[in-house]
Amino acid sequence: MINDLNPDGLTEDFEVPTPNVRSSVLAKVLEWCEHHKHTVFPDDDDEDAKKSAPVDEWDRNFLKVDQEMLYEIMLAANYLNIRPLLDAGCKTVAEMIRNKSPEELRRTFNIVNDFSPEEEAAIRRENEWAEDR
Amino acid sequence: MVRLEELPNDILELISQRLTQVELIRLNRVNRDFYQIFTPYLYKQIYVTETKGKSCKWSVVQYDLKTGGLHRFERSLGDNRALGKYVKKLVSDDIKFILFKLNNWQNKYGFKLRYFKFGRVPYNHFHTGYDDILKLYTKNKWLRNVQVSRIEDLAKLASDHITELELVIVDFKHHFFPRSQRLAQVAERLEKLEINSKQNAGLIILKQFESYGIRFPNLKQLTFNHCHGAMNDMEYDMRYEIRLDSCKLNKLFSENLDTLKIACGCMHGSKYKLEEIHEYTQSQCQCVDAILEQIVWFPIKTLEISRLGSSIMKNAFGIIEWKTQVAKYLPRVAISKLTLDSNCQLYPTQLFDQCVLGVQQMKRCNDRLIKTINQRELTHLSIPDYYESMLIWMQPEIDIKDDSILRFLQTNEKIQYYLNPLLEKHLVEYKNDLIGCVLQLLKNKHQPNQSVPSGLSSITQPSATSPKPNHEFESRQVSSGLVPPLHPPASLHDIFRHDTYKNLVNYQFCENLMASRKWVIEGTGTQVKISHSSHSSHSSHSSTLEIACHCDGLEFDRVVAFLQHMLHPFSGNKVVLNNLNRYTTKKMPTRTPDTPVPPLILGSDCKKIGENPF
Repeated sequence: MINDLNPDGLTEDFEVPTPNVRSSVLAKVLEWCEHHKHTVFPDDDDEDAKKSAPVDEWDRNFLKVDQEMLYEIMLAANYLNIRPLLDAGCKTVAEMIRNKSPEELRRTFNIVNDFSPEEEAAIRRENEWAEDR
Repeated sequence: MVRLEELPNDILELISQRLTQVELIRLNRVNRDFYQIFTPYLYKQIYVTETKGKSCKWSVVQYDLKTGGLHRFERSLGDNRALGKYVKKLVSDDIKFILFKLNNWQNKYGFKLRYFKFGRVPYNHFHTGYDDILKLYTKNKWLRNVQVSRIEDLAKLASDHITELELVIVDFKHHFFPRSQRLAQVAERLEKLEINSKQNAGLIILKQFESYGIRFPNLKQLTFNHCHGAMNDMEYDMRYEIRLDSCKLNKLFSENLDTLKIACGCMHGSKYKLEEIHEYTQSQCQCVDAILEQIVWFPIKTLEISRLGSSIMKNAFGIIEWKTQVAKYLPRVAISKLTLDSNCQLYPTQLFDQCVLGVQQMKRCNDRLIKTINQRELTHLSIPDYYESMLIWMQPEIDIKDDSILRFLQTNEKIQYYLNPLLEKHLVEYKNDLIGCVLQLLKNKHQPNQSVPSGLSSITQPSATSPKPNHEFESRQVSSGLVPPLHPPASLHDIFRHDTYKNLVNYQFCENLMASRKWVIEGTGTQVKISHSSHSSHSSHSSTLEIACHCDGLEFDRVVAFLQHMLHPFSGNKVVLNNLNRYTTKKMPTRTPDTPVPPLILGSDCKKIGENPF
């Protein structure tokens, strides 16, 4: 994004607008960038490597924040086009989902079940092909 | 307050790409919002297969009449007509599905496929069902990729969106094709072109394109293999030998072509029969040289060179020759990303017993290669070959502080654990270390998240107290947490995904563990379940270890089958795992095809329980 804003590679300071990012979130993002300033990440197009690799230990601890902060960091990373941070956030959310039953997921994400018993039965039937794993 | 369901679609998609289908169906049962959000991802990429397996990329529908997976999938599509429209990508390695179902489904459920692939195409059988696949292509106006074995069939296709073309050339006569306007139109849009053949079809076809004046101005990636003029499996005929003529071929492409993937080095040599090649004197055919000398003229950024000849890969001298030839041309290729795969697996016997001379030569060869690579300004270097990698690290004169080596470490994280010289370990120690990790995990089963120290000493120490209470341990982390102190962390997937380590683990299981306790090994998709039970005069206990792995399920199934076979007391069957053949000595009793395969139970000698380290 910074390259997009500064295509000519000017050396002077310039502003990066972050209108939708809270200062506390931006501080976290900058902390992450500072920590990883020397890290060489896999290429963006190396999707398989990115998906299969576990979350970096430091990132895992860094993202141990409440859900709202986690989502806001992911949104900021998306907005600022910081793919490795967004990637770590997605993996963290995926780990929150992993191996949980629907009821546990509701508790995790503070969600009320609004299905009727009939609808639940229909979805269960609809998913049967995938449950055979 | 931002909630998960309020995240933008592109982020939700990134999350869903890291979830298996089971996790997606649990999500779509949470509430109506989640159903709306996550159901399309469940149906977006469908893989119809006979093989059991799990994958994060694909929702797997098992084509198995007994389990009824396909029938239930079809029922869901029929009950809810919206679901069919979510299916965008479909891969099937089951020809029966393609022949009897797919075309019918297309009409019935309103698929709008962007991508369809006949997975794991067997060259000799592509003609089976080929016309049905073609029929499917002709109906789909949105397809972006096609596989054809006759180039002229491109003229029949309906889609104007084709950007990926895979040519699977089965017969020699299909190398030649008539010129057509339609072909030129397709070529103009192509971004990826892959030519697969047992012969040297790639060059023949490219030369024909060039003679017809057909151009590929938008092509970004070109893949082909080159098999030294061989016209069938065994015979070699110099009359058919052609060379890569970059001056002519460059006319086909524009500056958009930035990736070249070539498989070469068929080892047909100058002999007529593969069996006649003497590994010490005729180790590698010269077609590698013929191909590589022209590659330098391609203005590309990414180069992947892999070596053909997997069936005769035990020839270490062939690998040396191949790498020597590659090293000769690398300095002249202006690339930033390089992948070298000599298609070599680590054979313990090859390394330690039979090929001492070969190993020494390999060291010198690797030395030259790595120094050549070090001189390049590469941003990405990958050598997915553990034989070479290990030997590279065994060379003390290589400076690990060198930037290129550091990049190598960073881009080959999975190698790093095993081969990082900083760990000052030898192969035997790695082997014991791996076994130690697995055993420690069993030992610490009541402490699933505890860090596991590595090393042989940790497994030879008997446990302080005995017996252990019954307990079930489950670890379903993305990383199994086997070796947490290391950076980057290694997972069980890292251990099991490569044959070498699978073998090492297996050897240890077989030799040291079978006799001491009962083991049951079952594999379910991405999980290996290792159960053990033991009985002594004081007590009996059993436990179950489930180790989840965030990898391709098919790979894991193979590992499990391999483990099962290696540990089976009545074996004698041949096991082929990634081209690695294994034989065991005893004969397996004949089993009727209808008999279900029971879980494998190994070793029941309870008298040796005192020797086990738990």
